[in-house]
Amino acid sequence: MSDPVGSRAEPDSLQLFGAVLLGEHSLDELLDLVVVLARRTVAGADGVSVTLSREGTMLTSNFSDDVVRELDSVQYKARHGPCVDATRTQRMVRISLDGDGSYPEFSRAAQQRFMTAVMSAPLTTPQQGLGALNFYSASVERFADDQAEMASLYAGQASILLANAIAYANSTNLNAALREALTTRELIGEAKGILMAREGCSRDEAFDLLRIMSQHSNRKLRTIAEELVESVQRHD
Amino acid sequence: MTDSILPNSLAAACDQVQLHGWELWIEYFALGGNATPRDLARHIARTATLSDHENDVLVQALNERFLAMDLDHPLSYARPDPPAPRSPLPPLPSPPPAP
Repeated sequence: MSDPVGSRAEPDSLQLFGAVLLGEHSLDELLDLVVVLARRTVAGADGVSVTLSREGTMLTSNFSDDVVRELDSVQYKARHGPCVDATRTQRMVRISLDGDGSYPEFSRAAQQRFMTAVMSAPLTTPQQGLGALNFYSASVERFADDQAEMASLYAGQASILLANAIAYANSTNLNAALREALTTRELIGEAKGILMAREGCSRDEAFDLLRIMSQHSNRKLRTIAEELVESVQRHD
Repeated sequence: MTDSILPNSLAAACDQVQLHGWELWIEYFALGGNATPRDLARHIARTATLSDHENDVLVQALNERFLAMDLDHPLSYARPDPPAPRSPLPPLPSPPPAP
C-alpha cells in the first residue's frame, strides 16, 4: 500500500524547490531545506543526511541529527556502506539491517543506534556526481518500493536544485575573484609606473624589479607594490 | 631540493600547487599578465610560447603559491634578474642586494 504521507508531500516538496531563488539562500540553507523536506517526503525516514563528494573525498554536509552523521562517518572510515556506494556508483542502495548481510561493520553500528533500514539515493547530474541523499529508519524493516521510488524522484529534483546552486555560487565567486584581481592589477600597474619614472626602465623591467624584491623578501608582489605606492603617497 | 619539490615543467608546478584553469588565469591576470586563458593554457601545455615577460608573470603567480607552502620561489624566471635600482629608493620595501 502506498504511503499517504509520501503521496501528499511530493508535490509540496517539488513546488518548494521550484520556488527557491538561488541568490536569496546560501548553499548551506538549501541543503538544510533538502534534508527537512526529504524527511517529510519519504515515509519511514526518521533521519536524513546529505553526503557530498569532491575529488574522491566524502563528507556529510547537512543532517537531521547526530546519529545519522555518526553513521555516515562510520561508512567513510570503512570506505563502504550505502552512502559510499550510492555516491560511487550513482545508483540507489537500499538495505534492511536485520538479515541483510551487506556492510557488516556499518550494520552493527547502525543497529547499536536502533536503526532498522537504510536507503541512499544518488545526487547526480548528467555532468557530475554530487553525492548521496541518505535515509535512515528506526521504524520500518525495509523502505518499501514506492518509498524508494519517491526517494529517487526527490533526489533527482534535489540534484537539479543543488547543481544550479553550486553553479550560481561558483559564478558569484568568480565575479568576486575577478574584481579582486582587477584591484591588484591596478595597484601593480601603479607601482610599475613609479619604478619606470624613477629608474627610467621599461614596463617589463619594472615588473622584474618588483618580482625580484618579492623573491628576496619572500613576500607577495602585491604586498611589495602596495607598500611602494603607499610610501610614495606619503612622500608626496 | 628533491624532484618532488622542484617541478620540471609549468604543468607539473600547476599540479603541485593545485592552481588550474580560471583560478590560475585570475592569479596571473592580477599580476599584470596579458595573455588570454587559452594562450596561457597552450603555453603551459607547451603547444604555444608566450613572451619571456608573460612567462615570468605566470611563474611569479606559481611561485607565490609555493611561497604559501613554505617553498621559496622554486621556479626560475626566463628573463635575467635586473641590476639593483639606480637610486637607493628608501621607500622601497626590502631592496634586493646587488648581484
